[in-house]
Amino acid sequence: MAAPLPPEVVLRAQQGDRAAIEALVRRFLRPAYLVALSVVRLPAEAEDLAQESVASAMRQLEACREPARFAGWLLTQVRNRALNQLAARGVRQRHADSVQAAEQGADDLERVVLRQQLLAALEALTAQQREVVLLHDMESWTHAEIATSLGMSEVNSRQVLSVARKALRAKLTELDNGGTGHG
Amino acid sequence: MDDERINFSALEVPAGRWEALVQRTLERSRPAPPTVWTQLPRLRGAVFALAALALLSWVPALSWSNDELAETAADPAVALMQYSVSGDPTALLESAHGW
Repeated sequence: MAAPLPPEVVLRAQQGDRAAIEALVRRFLRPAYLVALSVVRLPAEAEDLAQESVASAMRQLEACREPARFAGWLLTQVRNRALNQLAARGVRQRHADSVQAAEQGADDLERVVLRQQLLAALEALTAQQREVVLLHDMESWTHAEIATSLGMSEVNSRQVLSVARKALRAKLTELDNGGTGHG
Repeated sequence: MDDERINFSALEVPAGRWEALVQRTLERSRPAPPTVWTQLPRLRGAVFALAALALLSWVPALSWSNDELAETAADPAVALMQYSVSGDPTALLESAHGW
């Protein structure tokens, strides 16, 4: 688990300290990617969104009034940008892109299949469930960090994670057994 | 509760590509060079001082009597100042004729 970033780093970044800005980018680009992925469900598009959102946030850091709540401020911007992009596209186009992006981005066939199954299984969750399970299981965020950043209680975060994992396992089992969950 | 993590490794971005993404993000994170408009609040002291100086430079002109101005009316600069104070173009015209 990454150590929590002290608010002083945000303050230094707001004053133009390049090292502090780099620390913020390195610490939060991945969570930004995961939040974007939870909304658009396309890895390649989530990468672009994370890059654009984080770079934009770094250029307007003075707008972050509460450095202690930087993570929530940043991830809200990522989520909003991703939702806007999602709304601008048709679902049919998104699915076609999903298959293409997954195939282009993977190294081998097994990885392609796994990737497609995970993306298809994630479709069975709500956006909030996806954010919680991805931040917890991929980024190893604690429930306290998730609760602060997503504006929920720790108890709620635990419950959402548990429900999300059960739904994911059920969907992955269905897909493994040759289910038609790909849509 | 379901305590076992889901294996999302297939969704991981390869390390080399991730570092390239970080570098691109850092390049785009540089703030835009400050414009005059954004610099204005920082320069407000200097702007205030210049405005005060400009105002003070007018005070002697405002306090001059018309007689004093008339004595030097042949001078185009004084004629222009007299016109700006009184609104009477006579001195200005006389000065122009004298050129």
